[in-house]
Amino acid sequence: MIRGALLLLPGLVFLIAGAVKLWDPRAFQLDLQHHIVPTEWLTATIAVLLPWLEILAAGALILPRWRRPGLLLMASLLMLFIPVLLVHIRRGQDSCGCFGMVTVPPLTALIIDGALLGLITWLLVSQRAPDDRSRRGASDLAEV
Amino acid sequence: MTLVGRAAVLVCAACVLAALTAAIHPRAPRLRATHPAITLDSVPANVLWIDARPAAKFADGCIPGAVNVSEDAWIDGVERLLTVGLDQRQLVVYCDTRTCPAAAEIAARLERELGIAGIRILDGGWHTWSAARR
Repeated sequence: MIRGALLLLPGLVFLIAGAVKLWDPRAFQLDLQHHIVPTEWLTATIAVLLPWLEILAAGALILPRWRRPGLLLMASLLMLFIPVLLVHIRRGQDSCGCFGMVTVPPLTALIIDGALLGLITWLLVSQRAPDDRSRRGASDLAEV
Repeated sequence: MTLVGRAAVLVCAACVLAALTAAIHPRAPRLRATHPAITLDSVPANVLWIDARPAAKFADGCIPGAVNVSEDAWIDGVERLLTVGLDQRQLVVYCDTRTCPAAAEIAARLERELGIAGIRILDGGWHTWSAARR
């Protein structure tokens, strides 16, 4: 129950972040051009790929067998976002661009991302894979 | 399938959906080079400001000397621009913020329909300019 509620938190954050970016990929591309990546093809690729990575990672949490891969993908993305946010903070930028047009200060985003990464890491480590669970269940039965 | 294998499947699915998005989304990103941003510090002296925001916002406040050329009053804007004259001027287009798409769209339209090259976009837009003047 508590685990389910904890899964909901990163799921919702990633789903909203992905959906907002996917609503207007061109605006997201402009944001990337101005502040992170200089080349057009790379910003265009990130502008359409990143929202789907976020949405699919969030969607994967619904299916038990895909929960851990979803969490792994989220953790990988967060590990990419954190250095980018540090660059934003160093440059004194007003928004991280994490939620499209919605202004979120990079320091706030860094705190959120750090907390999410901690939570996701804990969920990944503490949650056994369904395969492991079934194997263990079988060995328990064998012992009986 | 392993944990990493399943995560790779998710990435592959995202790649397919991204390709579809690039093909059919009405606001898909541009793959060809558009107009580079210019920071407020590096704007040249011969700048001609183009305000790409709607007329109401322009009336509320604008960069001094700016010409209002927006999508909703394109013809009027172009007439104003031609009246001012473009000789040896560096056109810098701005809208509200660094993420607003209007500046890039107006810059692209000016280049496409009027053949003006070398247009730049003000990094941070009106918000950056007004914050710097406070």
